[in-house]
Amino acid sequence: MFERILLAVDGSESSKKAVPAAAEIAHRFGAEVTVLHVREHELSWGSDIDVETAAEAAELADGIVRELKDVGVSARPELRRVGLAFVPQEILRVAKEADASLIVMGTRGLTDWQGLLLGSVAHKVVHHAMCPVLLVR
Amino acid sequence: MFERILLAIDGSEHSAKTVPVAADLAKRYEAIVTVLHVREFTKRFGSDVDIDPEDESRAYVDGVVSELRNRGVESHAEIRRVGAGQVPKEIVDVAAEVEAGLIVMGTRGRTEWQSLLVGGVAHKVLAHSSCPVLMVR
Repeated sequence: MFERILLAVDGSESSKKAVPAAAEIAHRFGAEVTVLHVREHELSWGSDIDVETAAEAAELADGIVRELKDVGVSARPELRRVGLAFVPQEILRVAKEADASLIVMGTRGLTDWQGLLLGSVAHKVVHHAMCPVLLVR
Repeated sequence: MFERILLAIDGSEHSAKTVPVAADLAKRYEAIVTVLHVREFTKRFGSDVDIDPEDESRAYVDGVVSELRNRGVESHAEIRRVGAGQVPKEIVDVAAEVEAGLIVMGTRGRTEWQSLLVGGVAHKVLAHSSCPVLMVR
């Protein structure tokens, strides 16, 4: 059922917690994991500014790929660069390209039972994903 | 990690899609699945009015439990009754009671995406669950 897993990471605490969950499922299902990190850039005064450098992004994704390989899970990194606020769309695009049967990601939910609760990236991904989404807080 | 799974269902078409996903996961993990349906009541003119009648809830949940057992998965039924609006909290509470390592649920809603809106059931469960949540669309 979950042969190809897309693990979307951003370096946050909850996204760190998503790594063992993805590893566990990949292990059980013999799945291959694509570790996706989408970095953003911003146009400011006519110039293109990276919110995060390519090196930082690669380090994050490669570190997680190593972590997965160390526990015997087949994994590869995937890095993308998009304009500010286009992260969810890119996650969905890569999920489609990789023909993922499961997306795993962290969610930065906060506040009380009434308030604004779910990270907006996770929110959009769950809304539009064609496959099940495993959210880890 | 996922030895105990809470499958929260509400009778919608979305929750029907969660059953095979939960079954497949449960088989891989030899997990025990608690099938939970939370029915609501509302106060009208001083008396409690059930939104979901008890016998219907029972038949529905028992049907899902049978389906899981037919697929070779150990499964139990759990029906709770709460005031209107208390469903997400009850799901999170039951997950804690049964020590679920995973909640599986649909992106429930009377419309396609209602439940993921701020204040929707899926949204609140995601925000408050201490265990990972698998959202099936």
